[in-house]
Amino acid sequence: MLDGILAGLGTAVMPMNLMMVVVGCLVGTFIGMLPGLGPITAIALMIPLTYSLEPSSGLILMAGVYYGAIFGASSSSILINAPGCSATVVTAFDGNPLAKKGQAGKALAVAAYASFTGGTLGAIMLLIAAPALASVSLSFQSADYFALMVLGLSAVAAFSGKGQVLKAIMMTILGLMLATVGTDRSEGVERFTFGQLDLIDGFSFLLLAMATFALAETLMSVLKPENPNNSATEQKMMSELGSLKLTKEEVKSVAAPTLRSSFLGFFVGVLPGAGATIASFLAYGVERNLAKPEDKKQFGEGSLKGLAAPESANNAASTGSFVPLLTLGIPGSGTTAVLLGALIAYGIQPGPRMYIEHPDLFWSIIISMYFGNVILLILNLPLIPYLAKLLNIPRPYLIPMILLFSITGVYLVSFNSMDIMIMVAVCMAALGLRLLSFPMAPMLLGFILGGMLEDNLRRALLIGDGELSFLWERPLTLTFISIAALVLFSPLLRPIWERSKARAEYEQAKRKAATKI
Amino acid sequence: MQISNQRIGGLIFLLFSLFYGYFSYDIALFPGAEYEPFTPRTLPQFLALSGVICSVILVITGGADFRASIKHLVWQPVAKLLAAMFAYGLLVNWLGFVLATIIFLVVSFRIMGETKHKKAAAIAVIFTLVFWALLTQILDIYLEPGQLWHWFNG
Repeated sequence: MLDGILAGLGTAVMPMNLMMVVVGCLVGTFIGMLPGLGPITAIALMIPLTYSLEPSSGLILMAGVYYGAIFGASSSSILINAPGCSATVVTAFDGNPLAKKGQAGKALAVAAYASFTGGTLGAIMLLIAAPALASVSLSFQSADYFALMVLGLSAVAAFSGKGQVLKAIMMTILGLMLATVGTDRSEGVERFTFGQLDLIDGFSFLLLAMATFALAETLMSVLKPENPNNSATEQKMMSELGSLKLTKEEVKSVAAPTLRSSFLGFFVGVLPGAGATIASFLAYGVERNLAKPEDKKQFGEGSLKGLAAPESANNAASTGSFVPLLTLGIPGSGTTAVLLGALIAYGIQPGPRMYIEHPDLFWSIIISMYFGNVILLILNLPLIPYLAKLLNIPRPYLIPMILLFSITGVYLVSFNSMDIMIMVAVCMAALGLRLLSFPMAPMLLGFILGGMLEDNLRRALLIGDGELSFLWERPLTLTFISIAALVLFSPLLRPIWERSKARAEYEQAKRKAATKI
Repeated sequence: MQISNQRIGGLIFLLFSLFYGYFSYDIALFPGAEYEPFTPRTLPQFLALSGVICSVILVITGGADFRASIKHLVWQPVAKLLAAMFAYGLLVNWLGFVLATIIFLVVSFRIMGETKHKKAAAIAVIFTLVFWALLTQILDIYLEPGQLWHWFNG
């Protein structure tokens, strides 16, 4: 392991790779600051550029963009109350009131320090957890992998929010359906190609990610112009941030919530499907419940604890989400699904073998993620006022440029102009689905896991002579399947349970009233 | 039963699943494959069935309370931008990357409400040339000059 870490460190400190971390963090911060554009878009926009780079440099760049995008999204949450992604929605609860009080600098500093702590602890835990899980997963069989993927997909659907579960399941199914288009991997027969040569290799992952995220998110901001141009007050807030310094008391007050939330965030991040959004909401809720009554009142009004908790949790969760990706080859979130797509494009299959076959790459990604945290703290924080000025680029120029990056990003990989037209069609469908409130991340996850899921299911069925008993014969498979069923059906059964509970309460109240009479 | 966004979504997905399920029977099978436990049709047919079940549930349970207002959506520039991107796809091989990109940017700036044509054209040209230089000189990506270029240069 030490050899691997040293090899990874050697790769990560190469000047080119250090530059990639810096560039990634800066570009990610800028894209993340644009309201509506999240880390998935930021990474998707980077993929075409990384094809001309070494796999390690490309992945380091994307890891930097990921962290930068989350940091940028936090900044826009604090400064203009416009979260760049769902993971930073909670940041705005206390960050924006602080900014409105003229303490934007302090809020950004707390967010940066909390993110740094979350990222640092997350990286340390990743250092311990990833090799352990990788060695355990070497004993996994096809049935276990299949069950684990079912668990991942179910969790993504189940954690997608109230009223969204069914739609998220449907989008996962859609993703799996799209993954079946093209040539079948085992028998070589064509499926759903309708005789079109362009469809023989199936849909391009990059095309799908760009069309459903980069293009669709940009066009959604035109379709629903919430904040067409930053108001004069917001512009003033961005240029005059106030002091970035924290007092000793303030540091003391946020230390414990930051540490608690970092651990909580990491473990939530490791769970397939949970991710940074749930981690940040959970951490905020926990800290609010743990706060003294006088501190509790501050939550929502500009509490430093309320800001530090979600920020450390979402960064630690982002690091945690790399555990299933790097050790099992199974992405737990939309963002890590995009990273998996990029890894596969490089010819690298993440999973336990990656830890053995490409230890330098495995460790360089982990070490670079830590470097990314350092860069964000020492470079991006002081640069925020300048990066924020970039947000003042007039929308008539900014939007077409992002659209151009998206379409040329796909075109420059395939040099097939047909891809641009397919992309426009997919984007139209994605816009429609977004307007009907269908979440997109489960679709992407279903698409990326579809091939692997089918391969493992086929293998498990063939080994089991066509019997479904493989689902319960191995304790590990049974555990994964049981958790998947529990996770999937609990939100669906909740309304029924709530209704029966309400009915029981009503009956009880009625009985009480009758006895009184 | 009121028509709501959820029900519309459910119906569209139901049609899509039926269409997908119908065409799953067109997937060719090798002789004797019907006795195999897993064929190229197995997963698509399971997915089609799951899709139908989920969309029927959404159609039945989807209430009217989730209706998002589509009145305030700004459709026109979005439709025009989509058309501009489609046209870019059609023209890029003919005009070449540089010319097609400049035209796309000028048109898109205009769609987004820029009225100063000279400024828009200048920005489009400078941005495209910088982008082109980045791709060809730094990232070493070859860009086809386009059919038009070949015509003029024999």
